[in-house]
Amino acid sequence: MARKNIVTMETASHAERHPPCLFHIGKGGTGKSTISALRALALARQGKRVLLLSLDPAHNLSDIFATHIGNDTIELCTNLHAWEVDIDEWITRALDDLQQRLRTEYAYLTAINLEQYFRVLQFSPGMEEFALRNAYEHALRTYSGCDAIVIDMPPTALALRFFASPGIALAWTEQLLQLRKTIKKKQDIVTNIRIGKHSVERDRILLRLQEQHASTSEMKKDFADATATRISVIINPDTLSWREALRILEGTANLGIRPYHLIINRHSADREIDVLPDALSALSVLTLPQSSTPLIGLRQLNAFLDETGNTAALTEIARD
Amino acid sequence: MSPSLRKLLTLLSDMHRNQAVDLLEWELTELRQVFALLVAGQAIGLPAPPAEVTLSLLPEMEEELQLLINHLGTAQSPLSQLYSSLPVD
Repeated sequence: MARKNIVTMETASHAERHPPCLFHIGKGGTGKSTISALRALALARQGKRVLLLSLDPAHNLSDIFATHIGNDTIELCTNLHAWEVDIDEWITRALDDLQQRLRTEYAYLTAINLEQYFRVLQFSPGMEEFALRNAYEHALRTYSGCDAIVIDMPPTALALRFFASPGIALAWTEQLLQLRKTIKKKQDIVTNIRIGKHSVERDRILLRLQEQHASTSEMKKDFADATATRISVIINPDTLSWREALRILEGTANLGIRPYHLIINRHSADREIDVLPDALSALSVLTLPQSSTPLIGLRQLNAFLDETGNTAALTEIARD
Repeated sequence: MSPSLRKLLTLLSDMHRNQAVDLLEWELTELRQVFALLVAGQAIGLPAPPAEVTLSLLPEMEEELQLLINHLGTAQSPLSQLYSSLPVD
């Protein structure tokens, strides 16, 4: 009977496998990094174990916390760890892995120094979002014991490409998988007739495609699952930022993803948005006032959270 | 059935079976070339899959790439290749 309670990796939902992921996207300069920092800190103050992850190539977390964070996770305070992903480093890792596998499979090429030829691949289209996804998956695996992962995203264009990348890879993988299965089926028939027995040889290309199909479809499903992925769109009380927020909603809707929060940052009585479009006001709206002092350093961030008092919405996470 | 008749029937069966498999093998080679073109088609200007898909498959694709390179020599005469594969007189 106890077996009924066993959750396998295949059947487990995102919430059972990984902590909820709170993404922050919006126009450059609206305060994504600051709000990510405030949100992570607010959760940590409630006793939640939090990883604050920056996927923005132009990192700001080190500046906000006035301490060097970098590509290795550091503890900022009790319950709060932070990591600024070095995209170049993750691209290099992916290429090193490729080189290693090429050296194994194409053994006769070991005499040649492959490294210099493969470096150029780092400039290939799609490598940035590939590296970001690798780093994100690594964070999910490594920090699966956290209560939440708070993510500071890059500006809109790269952020949308990041969310779109599993779907694009999945579309290609599905087509290639279908073709490869046909090839395998025909190969088995030929082997069966020629040799007179069923082929026991495994098709490594098919296996790799199946692995890739499983991981990309899982990530695509997680992005569309509001209990696993909670996206906050950050705007300022100005036209340009909410117009970009509308484009973000269009972009995410095309991917089957719906943002949850709209956070109006630097809100003040004299800087109100006249009419918020319906598409934006339909989200769960949260306003954060303009801070009277620069929000730099843990002390200032804590003071801001004490001042604003109402941090309930900031600390609302999917699993609750 | 006499042994010689049995031998003849077996021979005929093998002959037809081989012809059928030859055709299937030709189709298989074509499918593998199409697969290689889809994965590494950027080499000749075809739209490419995302880098992660190509990079993941590339180390396993030595045979497919070899097939593609061999095919280059006959790519200009697809009809002659088709006629040599199909039983057309």
